[in-house]
Amino acid sequence: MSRHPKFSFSRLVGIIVKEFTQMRRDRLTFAMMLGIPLLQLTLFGYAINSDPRHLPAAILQADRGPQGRTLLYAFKNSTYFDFTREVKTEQEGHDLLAQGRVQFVVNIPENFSRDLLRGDRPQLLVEADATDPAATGFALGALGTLMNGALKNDLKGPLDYLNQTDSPIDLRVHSLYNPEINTQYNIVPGLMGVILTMTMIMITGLAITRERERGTMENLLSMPTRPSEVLIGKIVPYILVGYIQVAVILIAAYFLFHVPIHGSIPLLLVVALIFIAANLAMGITFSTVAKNQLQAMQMTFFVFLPSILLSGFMFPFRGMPVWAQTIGEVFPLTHFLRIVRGILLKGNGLYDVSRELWPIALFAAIMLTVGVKRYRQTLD
Amino acid sequence: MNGELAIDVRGMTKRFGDRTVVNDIALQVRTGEIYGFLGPNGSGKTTFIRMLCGLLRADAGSGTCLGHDVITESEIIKRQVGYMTQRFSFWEDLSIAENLDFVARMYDVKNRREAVQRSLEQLGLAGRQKQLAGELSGGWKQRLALAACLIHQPKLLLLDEPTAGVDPKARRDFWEQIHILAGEGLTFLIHHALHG
Repeated sequence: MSRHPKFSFSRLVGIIVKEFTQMRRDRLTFAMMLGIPLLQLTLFGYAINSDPRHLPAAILQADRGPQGRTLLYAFKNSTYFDFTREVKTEQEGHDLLAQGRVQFVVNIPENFSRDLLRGDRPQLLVEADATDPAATGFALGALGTLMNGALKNDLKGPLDYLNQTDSPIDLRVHSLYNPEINTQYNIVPGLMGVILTMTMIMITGLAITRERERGTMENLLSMPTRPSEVLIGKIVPYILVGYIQVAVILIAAYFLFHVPIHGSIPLLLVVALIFIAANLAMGITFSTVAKNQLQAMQMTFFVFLPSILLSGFMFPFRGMPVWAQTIGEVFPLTHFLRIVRGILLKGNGLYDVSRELWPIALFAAIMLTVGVKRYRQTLD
Repeated sequence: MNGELAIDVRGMTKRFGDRTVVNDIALQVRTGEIYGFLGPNGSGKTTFIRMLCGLLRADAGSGTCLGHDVITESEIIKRQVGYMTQRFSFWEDLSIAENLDFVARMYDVKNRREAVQRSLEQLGLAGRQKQLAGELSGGWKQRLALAACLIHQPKLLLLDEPTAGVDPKARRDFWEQIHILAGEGLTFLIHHALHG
């Protein structure tokens, strides 16, 4: 005679129904599940990462020729730069950057116009305070085209040959303080992963500990339930909640932030399912280890913080040291970020994303196994 | 002889760390009997009951409960035992009917809806089935707990201080109910504090 009863589908349904009913009654948590994506989208999307223009800049113009002036006007007309200061020395410019009074220093060196016309590819130096890369990224990205376009008019007739070369100017961009650049399109799709990670781990993290704290665990254990029935039954309702969040973020990304959607939405939804399951499984495993709801919350943050720091959401992944990258590769969020950005921005298909998909699936499987193993059938 | 014993255990022992909570207890309860188990608070009554229904692993001891090995067959025993915990342990954010329905599902009760309906009527809860369990008074919570413990028609009912914190009227009704059930052949093991 087997010691354990067989897995019962109707018992599983029973647990799912119970969880749904409890979720419906718990209005505050449910509101939070919808409120968190909206709040974070507003904060990250609008407040933190708008497309910044009219950035204060200083000009160090040693050149008095016409081409130097042309360039300066082109910079101004782009609306990215507001030249609020004029400096005489490089040191003056550096001080302004260090104090945060300007975001850029544009340095047009002596004899710039003369060297340009001679075809000597004079240097044009742009120094940027890239402490907040999102602030400078757009402006710096626009520099190259901006310059060449501006000089088209000046370099005509016999000078036209200068336009044939890659660029008549040797543009040097120095991003000070932070050499990597993040863009807004990066942030909003990334938020999908971050929000799902936070809310999904937390909500299931509380699932078992809540039963234990309220004393209902004793009752649940005295019934002939199997660990897999309880754990899966507690995960399923929240998959739906996760999908609601994905929908909210996708709609906001498209209509509010105009994030391009090049790839397939159904593919994204399938990937999201695996990612949501991975996070729910992690939460439920925490739930079996933690003694109470507070501990479950602490464990959530213990994973959540390194997740957002090491996944490439906060900092460019390739800019991190190897050991940090190695840790980062473990988190489902790291892979999910690449997939979401790949699908939305690059139009990646199933083949492209499969490389990042299996680590998430593996993670989910391991977590669920640990959870089922750790789930105690007794009160010991 | 053994067939008439609902509970037949000996040497039951449970330690938490180096503290021995239950030490070498033997107990025989005949089928259809109401067996009272008295002891002061902290004397290990709850621990003993939890070992019987498989909620705690015994450190030593052997025997049978409803004819099944109390150590290795606890999953089978669980299906035939009703356990009413000392503290109300049903879901306060579910209604009376939802709680009963959930328990019925967990025990794979046949004709679940009828079983829930029957149990609501038997215990006089029919008019309040939509009320949330958390809003019930002590006496009504106790009725609900008993109804939920009976829904899968167990052969043995383990009651852990069932009338603690219940008013005298509800207490009297409760015992009447227990006697009716005992007349139907159910076995009871009832724990009670000495100064309850």
